[in-house]
Amino acid sequence: MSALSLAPGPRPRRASAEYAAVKLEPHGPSRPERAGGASAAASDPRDRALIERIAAHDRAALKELYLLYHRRLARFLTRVTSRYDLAEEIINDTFWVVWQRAGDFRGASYVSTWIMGIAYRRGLKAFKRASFMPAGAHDLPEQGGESHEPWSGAERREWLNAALERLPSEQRLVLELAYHLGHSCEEIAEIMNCPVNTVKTRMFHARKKLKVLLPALAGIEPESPP
Amino acid sequence: MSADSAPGGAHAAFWERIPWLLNGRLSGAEAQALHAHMQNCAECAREYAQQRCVFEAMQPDESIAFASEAAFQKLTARLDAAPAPARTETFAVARWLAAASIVAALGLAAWGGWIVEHTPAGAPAAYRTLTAPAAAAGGAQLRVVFTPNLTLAELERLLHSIDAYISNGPTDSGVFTLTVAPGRDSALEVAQRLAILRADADVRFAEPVTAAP
Repeated sequence: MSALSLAPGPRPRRASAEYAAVKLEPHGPSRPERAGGASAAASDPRDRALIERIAAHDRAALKELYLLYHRRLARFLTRVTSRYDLAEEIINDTFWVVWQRAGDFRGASYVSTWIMGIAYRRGLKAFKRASFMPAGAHDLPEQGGESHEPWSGAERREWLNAALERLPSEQRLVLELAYHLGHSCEEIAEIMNCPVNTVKTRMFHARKKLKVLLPALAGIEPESPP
Repeated sequence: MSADSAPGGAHAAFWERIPWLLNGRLSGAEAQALHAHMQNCAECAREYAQQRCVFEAMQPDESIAFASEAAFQKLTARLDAAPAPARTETFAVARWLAAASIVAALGLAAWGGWIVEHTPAGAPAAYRTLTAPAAAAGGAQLRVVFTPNLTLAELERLLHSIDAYISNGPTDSGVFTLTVAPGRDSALEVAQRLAILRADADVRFAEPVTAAP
């Protein structure tokens, strides 16, 4: 993150100069294992074949699908509930439904979107409990303004996670589904069973509220050209 | 076109798409148009830089390991304790469940009637908490899981053959509690009834309910 700095200073006058350095990075931000996008498209035929076998009560197929998704779901659900035991309960509830309802999957979406939609519905109450902490329940860590690298590494994650807990659960989940899991706007609408415009509105408010909760964020400027 | 000079709607639409440019979910044309817009829009370029910071801070922590196999074993145990899911016989299962509910209701009504008949006037009401031993409520009790193929007629026949009625259930796992008729619940008779149940192809599981120590 050396390119991004909170250090105060005059903003470059021309947007094109600011943006030039961002574009120079050939592959953009890091792309780890994701649920959406190319990853979902590539894995979907395999997942659909497994769903067909599960619909025929094939336990080996259920295990294969479970092991393919467990890590991703556990990481996501532990993140948004702050409890692994709860995450595991939601995962097993989700795959219980997958086992019971595999025959009902019509293939209108990626399997990963279908599974995430089930997990969302199974975990809804837990998400609401875990999110939107009242002020003071989980104080935001102090954001140092004097340091040269205050917005980096573990400290950045700590601030951000504390701020995310202050967002209403629906707004936080839209951010998590887009940024943590890589889902598209349309996929998120399907997972949360709401119109696409609702997803856009939730994302809009989440971004605006994060700026209020994280004043340090507002100080981040695009990279200067090398 | 700067943020100030761009039509409000177009600029707002570009600004709105930034998260999906970051996660790689815009189409090629949409991404290209947004990149072009950011060349000249300081506000969107700054928003992109800020959201990229958030995006990167929210990436999965690859160092955390999870016990996936152990978690699956818990799911397996849960599946083993429950009836198999319906595939095409959804209607048959629904009909079976409705019939079982009716039988359970009739059983409970009969049991209630028997209690009223056999309770002396003025006797203190008997209360049972969830933690009390189940067997304390009446005759010997058995926990049974049936297959979804069992019909109402077969269920009635089976219950008659062992002089028992449904006193509870089904639980979420499909477990029924049967109570053996009073006077027919000696250890030998209970063992005989269990043998009948276990020999039946439509009984997956039958065990006596043991009283708490």
